Amino acid sequence: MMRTLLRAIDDFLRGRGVFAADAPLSGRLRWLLVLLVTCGLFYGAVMGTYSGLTPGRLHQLLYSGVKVPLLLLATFALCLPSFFVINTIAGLREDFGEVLRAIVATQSCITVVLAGLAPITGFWYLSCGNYRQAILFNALMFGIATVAAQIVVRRYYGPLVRRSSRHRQLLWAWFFLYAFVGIQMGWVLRPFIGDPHIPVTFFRSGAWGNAYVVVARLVAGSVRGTDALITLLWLIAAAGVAALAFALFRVLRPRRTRRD
Amino acid sequence: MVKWLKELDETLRGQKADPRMLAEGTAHIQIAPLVAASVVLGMIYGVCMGLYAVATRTPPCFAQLVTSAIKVPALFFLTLLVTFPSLYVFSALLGVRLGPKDTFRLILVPVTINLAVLASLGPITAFFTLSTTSYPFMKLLNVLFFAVAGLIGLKILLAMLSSLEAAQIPLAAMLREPEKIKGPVTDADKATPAKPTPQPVSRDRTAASKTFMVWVAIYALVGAQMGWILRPLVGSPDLPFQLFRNREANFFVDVFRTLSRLLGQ
Repeated sequence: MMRTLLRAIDDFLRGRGVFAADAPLSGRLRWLLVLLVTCGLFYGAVMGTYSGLTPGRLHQLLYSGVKVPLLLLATFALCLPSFFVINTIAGLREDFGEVLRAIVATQSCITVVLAGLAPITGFWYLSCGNYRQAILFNALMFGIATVAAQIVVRRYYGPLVRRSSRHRQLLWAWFFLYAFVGIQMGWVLRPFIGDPHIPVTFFRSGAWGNAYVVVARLVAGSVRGTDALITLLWLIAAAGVAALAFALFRVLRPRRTRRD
Repeated sequence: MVKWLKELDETLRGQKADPRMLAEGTAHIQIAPLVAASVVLGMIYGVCMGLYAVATRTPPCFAQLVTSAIKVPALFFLTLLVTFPSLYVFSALLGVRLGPKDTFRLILVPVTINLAVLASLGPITAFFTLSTTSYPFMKLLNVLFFAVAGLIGLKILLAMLSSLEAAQIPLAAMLREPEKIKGPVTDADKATPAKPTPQPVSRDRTAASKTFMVWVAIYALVGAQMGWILRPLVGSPDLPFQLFRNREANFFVDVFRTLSRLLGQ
């Protein structure tokens, strides 16, 4: 059981066997999900050890463990319908089976890398740190895992992009959407680590709220009275929307038929 | 029901906008199934939007949920109703050879796609609705999603127009450039025999595309204001449920007001 899992992880990291980019698709999705859940659970549990290993607090390990795969899978499930529709409109429905496995593989890779980094997180907890540092360190680990997962993105998306360059733009759209929803999902699912001074709960009381509103208020609060900065923020927001619109335009540009 | 889904799927896959099909007219676009599918898609998004009034109020306001589900499809079709006559009149005046029914079919495809994108964003709206109490944020998120879906619909309309123009031109193109049509047979040509696909023309836009471009701008403006007239769609938590709000200000004023409220708090 354990050995099969470790072999699957090895195959996945090296892109061999069922995980090879050109291997048949059947059976790959199931393995990717298994990796995502097991490795996510493992890292989450390690992440939760900050809360303390005393008998009364051990269920924080379970809560944190469940939350990591939940964060990824729930975000994935919410974004999937629109990604599917946009792929279809862009005329890439035939590739969607492969696309689906590529984006699931990205998330699996994030959790596998996180599982590999778990001992470092544990070591960090042992050697130093207050609660804030623990949060920052975990954010850093997630960042490293996301960057490392780009290798897997390239492996599975490379053939797709060679077939149609629209896949690249749609991949950007996916990242944007996933990050937008994922940030809020992470906010809703707090606490991931568990403050040792607060009793263990699955959701933080009064945790519902909106990450973006909180950030907007923080920024607006820190520059209160200076209207110029608020105007600047507006401009940045407008530029972001314009950039998104431009990207969509480029993605959906009518396909040019070949001229001979 | 299965037929609706099949039509919807074909529309999304771009088969309705296929240049070869458009060359033979617009009869392959069936009005009834597409309208039905659009209404259902709009209702799906309307429910996700109206969820805010259920989630934030005690007791939950289900009337808002029901009216939002009716208002979203109504928003699109009322806008179409208001702007369609002018489109038809001007396009006929400028010598576009599409009858009223053809024009309507042509418009229906992007509207359906617009609503399909919107409905697919529904789960995200519902998630933010359930986890957010900030009213300005929800309003702006909905405006953003409508805008994204509208842009995609616009893109599809422009693509259809360029294939339609191409479909009307091949004869002229053949006369102008005969050697290109009857060029030496290459491997690629062997692979795709069939009849020559009309090329989309990007330059020398005809009257049709100019009219449609202007019309799209009108449609967007009327649509935005129609949304304002039909409000409340989300339902401000401070105000009681009403079928329609009093007339005041307009859509664009309110977007700026909302932005400043979100950032200025």
